[in-house]
Amino acid sequence: MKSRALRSLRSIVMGAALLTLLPSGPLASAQRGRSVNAEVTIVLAKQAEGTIAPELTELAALQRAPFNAFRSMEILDRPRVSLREDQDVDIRLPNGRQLRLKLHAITPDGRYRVGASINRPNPDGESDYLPLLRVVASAGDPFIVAGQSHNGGTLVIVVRLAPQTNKRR
Amino acid sequence: MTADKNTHAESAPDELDPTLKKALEFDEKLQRFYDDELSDAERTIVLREVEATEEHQLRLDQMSRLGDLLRFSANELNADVSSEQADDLFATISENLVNTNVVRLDAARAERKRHTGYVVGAFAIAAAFALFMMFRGGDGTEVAQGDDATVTDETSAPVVTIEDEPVVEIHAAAGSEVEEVDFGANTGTVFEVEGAAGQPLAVVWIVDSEEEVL
Repeated sequence: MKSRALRSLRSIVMGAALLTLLPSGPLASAQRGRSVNAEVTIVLAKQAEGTIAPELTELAALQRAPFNAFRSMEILDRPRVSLREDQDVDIRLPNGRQLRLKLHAITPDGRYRVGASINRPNPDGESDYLPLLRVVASAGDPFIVAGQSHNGGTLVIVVRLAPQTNKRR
Repeated sequence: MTADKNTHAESAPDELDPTLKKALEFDEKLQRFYDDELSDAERTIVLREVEATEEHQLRLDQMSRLGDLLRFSANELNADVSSEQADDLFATISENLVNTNVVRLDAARAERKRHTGYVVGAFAIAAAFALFMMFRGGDGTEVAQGDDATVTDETSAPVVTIEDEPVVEIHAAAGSEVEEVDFGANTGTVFEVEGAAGQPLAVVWIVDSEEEVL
């Protein structure tokens, strides 16, 4: 009688453990469906005398070295996209290249693991500009990809992530 | 042993024979002696007379036996009489006492029970109120009126209100960092700049050796 009860209990525990491991469980589907907002600020920075776009004053990082060497900054584009886990999102850059973003995961402490690459729109055998970049960022804290030449200046791409449910700071 | 005291202890009428009157008075004193109601001085006098007189000793012995008999009867009644029989007995006694100038015991009991009930009820209400105030959680000065009104008794002890309670929030690590990078055929570097709050922000800088693809 006792061993029968023990067997039943063991079966229940094993079944529960298997359910949590199954990738098709409700927890897995919820994790798969997570997404995040991404704001991509594409800035043309030049050393020539000019103005700094007022919207950029909120980005303190652009006022520090080495970015403070630029005397003019102009926002060329500021697309906002939604990144879904394991789905690529392409953003066309002013220089004809393509920025590809992908949300890899949301870490247990709530940060975002994001992949980025800058490719040619129509691969013709030449190597990509930036084949692979993987970054972990907290909500609201940007990462920056800079250095591409464009129109007499340098492109500075600022990517900032924020949860979809909250308003942007 | 006070039940039969009235039958023996009635004051001796004035018209009685002095000898009989004296005997009745002493009998009354003897009864009080038996009931232990005398002062020490009276008790000493009575005891001396009882020791000296065989008649008084006999009378005292009768009182003792009568007392034993009454106690025994009372015990027997308590042990053997059922509640129904007791009710019948008291009903009969009550009927006999209807026209007598005696305070009815059941009426007196009922009255006392009613008073006791009031006292117990008052205690219960007081205890309930005390418990309510104790477990209410507040200081007992606030009285809610409707949904949004609160009256505070300002004459009582001051109430300290903490407006900015400390809130402990656990934040994830701030900033951004590069986990992996592949520059391909290009050259580049990874470094950090400080954000507005001093958090490290990742910067990937690639030396662009290509012409624009426009």
